[in-house]
This record gives sequence, structure tokens and C-alpha cells, in this order.
Amino acid sequence: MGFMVFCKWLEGLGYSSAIRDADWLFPTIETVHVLALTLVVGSIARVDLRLLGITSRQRPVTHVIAEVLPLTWVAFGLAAFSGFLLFSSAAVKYSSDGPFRFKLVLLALAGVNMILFHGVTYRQVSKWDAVARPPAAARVAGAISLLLWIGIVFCGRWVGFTTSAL
Amino acid sequence: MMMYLSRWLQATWLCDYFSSTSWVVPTVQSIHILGVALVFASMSLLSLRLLGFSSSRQSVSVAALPTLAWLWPALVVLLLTGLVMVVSEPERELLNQTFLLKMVLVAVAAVASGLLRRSMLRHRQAWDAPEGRKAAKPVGVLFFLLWVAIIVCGRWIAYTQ
Repeated sequence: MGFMVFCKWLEGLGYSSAIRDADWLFPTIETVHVLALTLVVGSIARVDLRLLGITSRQRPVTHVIAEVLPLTWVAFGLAAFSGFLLFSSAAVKYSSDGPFRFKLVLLALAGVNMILFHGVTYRQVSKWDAVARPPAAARVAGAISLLLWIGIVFCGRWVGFTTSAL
Repeated sequence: MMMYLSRWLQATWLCDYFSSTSWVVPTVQSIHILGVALVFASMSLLSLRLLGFSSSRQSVSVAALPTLAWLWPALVVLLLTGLVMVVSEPERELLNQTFLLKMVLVAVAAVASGLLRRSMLRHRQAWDAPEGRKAAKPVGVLFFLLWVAIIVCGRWIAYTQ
């Protein structure tokens, strides 16, 4: 109940109505969201593919992660911010949309997977850094991450499908 | 010409099937987005390397060649999913200026990457030398901007009906 009140309040804020009223604001913010999310998913996929031992096998895992993660974080910040703006413009509608809620659940799971990987498996990385095929725990983390992010993309597309004609 | 092509496609059973089976178009669009993610992220990482903003200390050719090599298979996946979308909603794409512009940009990007890859394979040492590193910077910027433009066009097809 309290969450609905919060959503209604978000919708009533100045910037939310501005996004609803202007023709070009929503499409522009949405485009930024798409650009940012493709960078997030694509860059994470590069790390996951290395963890699975499929690509860049000759490069140490730590090198791949060191190169990719800054891009991932910047892109994620942009995606989250633009996503929040889009959400605010119709918070009540989105918060009760099935695909949107599922997308948030998947995002949370992806976060948990990442924290577990970095907190546990990655601690031992010096032992398997240069190995072409990382140990099972790393491969599992990579596979779960890939599946979750593919799911997030599908959910995101379905939100657009179920909440508007575009 | 686009009018005839789109009318012809509209009359096919494939178009009927794709557009009446409600999950086909969003699913294919999602696969298309995943393909875009791989291409754009790789291109962005390549641009960052060429501009010297990356932690990887690879030479220009080592930084660029693997990425350029598998760009083409990725583009094939994008083309195939794109084809399904055009067949299911021919008018939405073929009669749309933004879509046609996007196709032109994709062709430019594909040809440019092919030429760049050839040049790097033939003149590897020149590209890896300091002058080559300098020349690689505007190339990195250009490729990044091209793909941003392509993605923006892709999204704006929906808004310029």
C-alpha cells in the first residue's frame, strides 16, 4: 500500500510530468536507456564468455575483467538513471506490470550472483587466472550471469510490449 | 520500389504467420537486441583501446583484429533477425526513412570494418607503430559514433511511423 503511494508521488513530480507531456523526452531517454543497456549486457557477456572459457582464452581473466568492468559500471549507472526516469513517468503502471517486476527480480539475482562470484570464487583467481578453462565455480557463475541478463533483455522488451503499442 | 516489395511481402503466408503468432516479433526483437549488445559493447571496447583509455596494453592490430574478425558473423545474426522483422511488418520498415537510413549506416559500418581489417592485416607494422596509433584514434571515434547512430535509428523507427 505504501509503495503505491510512493509511486503516485513519483508520478506527480515535475520531471515525471515533463516526460509525459513532451513528445520527444520519453523516446530520447528510452534511447539512452537502450544504448546503455546494450553496453551493460554486451560487456558482461564478454566477461562471462571468458569465464566459460569460450573467448579470449589466451588472456588472463583478471585482464579481461579489469578492462571491461569500468565500462560496465558507467553504462549501468546510465541505464539505472535513465530507467528510473522512465519508471517515474508512469510509476503506478510499471510497478504493477508483470514483466517489469520480473525484470527487477532478475536484476537482483544478477547482483547476488555477481557478489557471490567476487566474494568467493574470484578470491582464488590467481590460481586459475591464465587457464583457458576456469574452474567449475567460475563457469557456473558465468553461465548464470549470461542466462539472467538474457532474461532481463527479454523482460525489458516485454515491458514495452505489454504497456504500450510501441 | 519499396512500396511493391512491402505489398508483396505483406501478401505472403510467412508474413501472416509471423504477425499472427504474437510472440514471434518480440522474441526476434530481443535476440536482435542481444546481438546489438555484443556488437556495440565490443566496438566500444575497441574504440576505448584505440583511444588509449583502456587498461589493456595491446598493440593496435592485436587490439582490433579479433573484434573485427567476428563482427561479420554477429552482423549475420542481426541481419537474419532483422529480416524476420521486415517480413512480419514490411510497411513499418520498408516505407520508413529512419529504417532506410539505418540500413545505409549499417552498410557503411560493415564495409568500413572490412576495409580496416584488410588494411591492418596488410600493414600490421605500420598500424602498430606510433603513427599508426595516432591514426587509430579518429578511427575509434568514428566507429563508435557510427554504431550509436545505427542504434538510435533503430529505436526511432518506432517513433517516425
